[in-house]
Amino acid sequence: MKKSNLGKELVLLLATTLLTMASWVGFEIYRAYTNTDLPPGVEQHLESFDPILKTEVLSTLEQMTP
Amino acid sequence: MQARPLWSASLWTVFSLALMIILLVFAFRPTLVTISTLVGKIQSYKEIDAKLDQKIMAVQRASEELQKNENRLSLIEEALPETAQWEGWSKTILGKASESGVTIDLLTVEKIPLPGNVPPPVKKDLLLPENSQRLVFTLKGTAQYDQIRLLITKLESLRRVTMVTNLTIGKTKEGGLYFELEGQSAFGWKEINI
Repeated sequence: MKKSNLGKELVLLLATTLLTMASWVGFEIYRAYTNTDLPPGVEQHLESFDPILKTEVLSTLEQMTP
Repeated sequence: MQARPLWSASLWTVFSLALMIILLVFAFRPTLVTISTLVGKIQSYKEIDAKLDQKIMAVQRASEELQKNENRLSLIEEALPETAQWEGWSKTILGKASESGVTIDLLTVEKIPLPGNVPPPVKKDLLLPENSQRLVFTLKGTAQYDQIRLLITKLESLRRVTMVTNLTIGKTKEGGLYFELEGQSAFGWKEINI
């Protein structure tokens, strides 16, 4: 009975070890997937801007006296 | 275990399989990580590509807008010149005073800014554009109420960004009105959103 229990404990230990390893590798793969370093300066070029010129300001200025 | 050979054999099979899995994981881990890194990079480069395409479109549109309004852009320089240009500015102010019919006794301009000696940027509490500098002035003279009102209207409707900040009116010994008008004009912009 003792030997049989030892076997079961070993199987359990093995299973948890495999589970830990699978989690470790899984997290590492996930981290590698999400942690992509962009080349320096790219973030600056990605900033969006509004291309619409607010021409009502120019129209208001036109109406004012020089 | 000797009494149960099937259990013993199964156990060893499980151990062998587990060992194989462990070894395989260790063997493939760097490859899997590399694949994952590359897939992540491809994904992020695709996103960058899409964003850059959008930005190029925005730049093209902005360029078209700019070309369309090119002839009107000088208005901005007139409204908010890079330097104080106080000579032309003082002529305009005195001209408006003359048009309004007021008699100017004194025009004072505080700290005429020279290049490299500009006053601190205007705070948000005033209505002058943010990040601009200010030309603080005082006008003293005599006039009637209507003329003072007209002068203020003319000053505040100038294309050059100008605002009246304070006005004092009193009576002269002769029974007329004297006034002291304080105001500010903006200049020296670098980055202003229009």
